[in-house]
Amino acid sequence: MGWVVKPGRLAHARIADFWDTYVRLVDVHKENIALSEELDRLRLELMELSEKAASVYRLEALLDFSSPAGWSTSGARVVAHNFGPLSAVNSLIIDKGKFQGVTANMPVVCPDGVLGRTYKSGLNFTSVLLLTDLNSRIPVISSRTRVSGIISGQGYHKTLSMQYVHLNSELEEGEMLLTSGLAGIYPKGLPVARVSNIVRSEISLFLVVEAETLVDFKNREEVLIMKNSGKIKTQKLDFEE
Amino acid sequence: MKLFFFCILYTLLGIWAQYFLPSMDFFVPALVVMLQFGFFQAAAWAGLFWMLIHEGTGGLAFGTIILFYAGLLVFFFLGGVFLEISNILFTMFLMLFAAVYKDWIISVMATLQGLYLSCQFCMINILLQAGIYIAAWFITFTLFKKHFLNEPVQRK
Repeated sequence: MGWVVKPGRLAHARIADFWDTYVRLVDVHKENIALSEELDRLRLELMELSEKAASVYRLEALLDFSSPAGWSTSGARVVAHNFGPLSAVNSLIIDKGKFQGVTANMPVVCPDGVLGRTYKSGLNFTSVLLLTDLNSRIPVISSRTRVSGIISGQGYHKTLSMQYVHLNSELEEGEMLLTSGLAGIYPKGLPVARVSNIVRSEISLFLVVEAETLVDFKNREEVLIMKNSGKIKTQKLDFEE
Repeated sequence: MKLFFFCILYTLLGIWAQYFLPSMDFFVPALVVMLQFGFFQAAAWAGLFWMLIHEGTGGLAFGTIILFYAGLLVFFFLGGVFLEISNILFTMFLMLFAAVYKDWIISVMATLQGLYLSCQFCMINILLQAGIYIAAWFITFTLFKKHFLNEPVQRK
């Protein structure tokens, strides 16, 4: 019996072994495909979550921004930069407009500092005039020496110019320039730029002051729009509709 | 219907192209090609739609792009009196004119609004715009020739 059963069992064992190792590989292959797909899905999910985690840091920074008394803030996403052939001014387009209560001349800021102000408001989108534009003027005051002047843009990728600073003023390089709140558009105390260069001109009554912006305009994805509670009256400029 | 889908697709591509190349216009070449092939009604509707896109996204007062398109049409039809409108030389002149005229009209309108422009009559901008116009016209014209040559058209 042993001679009969043993080969049979051996054959069974071999066949079972063959089945398990080779024929069942079909299942392994299928499982492999499923696992690969799962891995791809998880990779995608990981990428998505990493992107979300990065945006959480940015949004947390925005939430940390405390608006001055009498002002409220709302977030908006940047849609485009200098979009279309008629974008004659340095501008951003954000995804909020009149339907969301955004009108012209509202300060646009981020945790690093001032970006500019709303310029032309559509129903759902708004153009933001960047402070680097030639048409941008912001009254500022230096943080330490309290020297006041007006910051004007000189074009994209160029330094800002602080105008009307008297020759005998004590302004220092590296000093922070804050909004003075005089024009009525911006609240007082928002960081705008840092003084980078001061030149004493021999032919002018004022110092030539250059300042660097604090904000990375090109890579900005979210911004905050500030709205005043109505205590401060804002006035439209000549060229605005 | 084919032309309608072409316009939709061209608009989408044009918007994305404008996103990647700020301050540049991509719609004029398609408008010119439609006029050259005699699709006047389609050109009118597409032109109106593109004008609204430009006006809505632009930073200047309403009317700038209307003046631009009006000037372009005047040049096109006046040129058509003396030259063959699908002639490549005429098209080159038209595209060059459009690139210069675009900068000029923007400068005039900005000045009227009391705006200062950081790049007024920048040669590099004009050349880039002319290059884009010519390249986009060539691609669109070739596609039109292939797909719309036998379509029924409205003649002048």
